[in-house]
Amino acid sequence: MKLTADRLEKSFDGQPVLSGVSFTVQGGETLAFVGRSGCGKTTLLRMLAGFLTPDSGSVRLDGQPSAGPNKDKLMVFQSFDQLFPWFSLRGNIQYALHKTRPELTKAEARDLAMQCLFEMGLKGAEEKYPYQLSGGMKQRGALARAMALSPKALLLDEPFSSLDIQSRERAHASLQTLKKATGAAVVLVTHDLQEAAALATRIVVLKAEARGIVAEMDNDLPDIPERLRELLRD
Amino acid sequence: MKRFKQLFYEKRWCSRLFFFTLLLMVWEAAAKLTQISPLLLPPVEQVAEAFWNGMLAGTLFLQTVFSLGMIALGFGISIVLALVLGILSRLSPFIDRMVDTLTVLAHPLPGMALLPLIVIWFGTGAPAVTVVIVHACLWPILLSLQSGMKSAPAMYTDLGRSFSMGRTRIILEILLPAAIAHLLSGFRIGWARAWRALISAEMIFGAIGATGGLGWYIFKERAMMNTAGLFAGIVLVAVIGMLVEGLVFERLEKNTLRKWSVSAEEGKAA
Repeated sequence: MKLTADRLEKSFDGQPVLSGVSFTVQGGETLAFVGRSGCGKTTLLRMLAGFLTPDSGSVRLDGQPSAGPNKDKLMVFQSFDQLFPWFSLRGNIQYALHKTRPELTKAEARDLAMQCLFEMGLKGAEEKYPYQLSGGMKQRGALARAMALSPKALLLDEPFSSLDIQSRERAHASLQTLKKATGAAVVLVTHDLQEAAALATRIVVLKAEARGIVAEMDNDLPDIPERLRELLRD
Repeated sequence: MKRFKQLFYEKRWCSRLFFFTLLLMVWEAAAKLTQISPLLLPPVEQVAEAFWNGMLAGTLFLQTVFSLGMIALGFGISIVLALVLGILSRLSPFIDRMVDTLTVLAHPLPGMALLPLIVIWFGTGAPAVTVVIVHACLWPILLSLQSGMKSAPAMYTDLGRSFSMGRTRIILEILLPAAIAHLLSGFRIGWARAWRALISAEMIFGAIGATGGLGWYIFKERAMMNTAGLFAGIVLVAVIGMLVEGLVFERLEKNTLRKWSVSAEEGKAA
C-alpha cells in the first residue's frame, strides 16, 4: 500500500494555498503534517481524500491515479459528529460495510463490526447511539468504522485535538491497533507537536508563506518537538 | 399525588388532559357564574349535548370523517410533492433555482387569494378544496425539508462519497434522515395550515360532497345561531389536532429524534 501526492497545487479565489506538494507514504507508515492554522493542512488532506480537486498535480494509490473519494482512502474528521446519529455505534459500522462491501452477509458484517469495536476498546457500547458516547468514544467509533472498511490510506484531520489527555492516549493506542490491523498508509494532520512526535514515523512541516512543505524529517531524532517549534517560528 | 406529578411531567398527554379539563372548568364557571348570554358563551354541557346529538344523528361523524379524508388526501399529496421537489432540487441546480422561484412566488400567497382562480379551474367541489389544502401545506413542508438537508453537516456527504454512494443514494439515505427534525416541524406547520385551509374553503364553498365537512358544520351552526353546536365543531377540530399531535407526530418524533438526540434526553432530564 502506497499513497503518493505528486506536485499538488490549490488556489482559492486566485490566492495560492498549496504549491508543488509531493510526498509518498508507505503502508504501515504515519506521515504527520504540522503547521499553523491556514497553512493548508486540511486542504491537502481533502485533496488526498478526493473531496477537493487539485488545480494541478495528482494523487495515486498503489501507483494508480485516485482522483475521487472512495473507501480505500478514508478520512477521519476532527468533528465529534462524524457518526450518523440515527444509527447505533454498531449500526454505523454495519451501514458503512453494507455500502462498501456488499458481498458480506448481514451476520458477517455484524461480526466484523463487533470485532472492530472490541479492538477499539468499545465493548459494551455497541448498541449506544452517538449522543450517548463521550467525544473520545465517538472518535474511537470512527476509527473502528475505518478499521472495518480496511482502507489502503487513512487520512486523519486532527481527530484527537478536542480530547482530554486520557481520552487522547486511549485514541492514540486505538490508532496504533488500527494501523497494525490494516497496514494502511496513515496521513495525520495536527497542530499538536507532541502528538506528531508520539504517532508519526515521519513529520512534515507546512508553512503558509511557503505555500507548502518547508521541512521533512524522520521521527527518530532527539528533541523532535523542539526542532519543530523552531521550524514553525516566524 | 406523587404518581400524578410523575405522570404530569413524563407524559405529555397527561399534562394536556389536565389543562384541557382546567380550561373546560374555567369555561363552565364563566358561563354559569357570569351574565354572559348562552348565545355568546354556552355552558360546556350544552356544547357536549350538541356534540352528542350531532354524533347520534350521524351527520357530525360523517362530516368529521369527510374532513379527515380531505386533509389526509391534501396532506399526503403535499408530502409526496415536497419530497419529489426537494430531492430533485438537490440533484439539479437548475431545478433548485426553478423550485426556489416557485416557492418565493407561491408561498406568501394566501390560499383565499387564489380561490377565484381555483373556482374557475376546479369548480367548488372536492378537487378545489384539495388544491387549497395542498397549496397551504406544500410550501412549509418543502421549505423545512430543503432547510433540513442544507443544514446537514457537509461531512455526511463526504462520508457518503467515501462509501462510493451516488448522489441520489446520499440524498435518500443520508440527507433525508438528517433532515428529520426540520421535516417534522414542516409537517406540524403543514398540518395546522391544512385545517385552516379546509375550514376556510368549506365556509366559502359551502357543503362539499354529500354531507360537507366540519367547516360546513361550523358555518351552518353559526347561521342557525346554534352557538353550542358551533363550539362543538371548534372543540372537535382542536381535539383532533391534539390527538394527531400525540398519536402521529409525537410517535414519529419518539421513533426518530428522541431515540438519537441528545437534546431530547436533556429535555427529559430538565
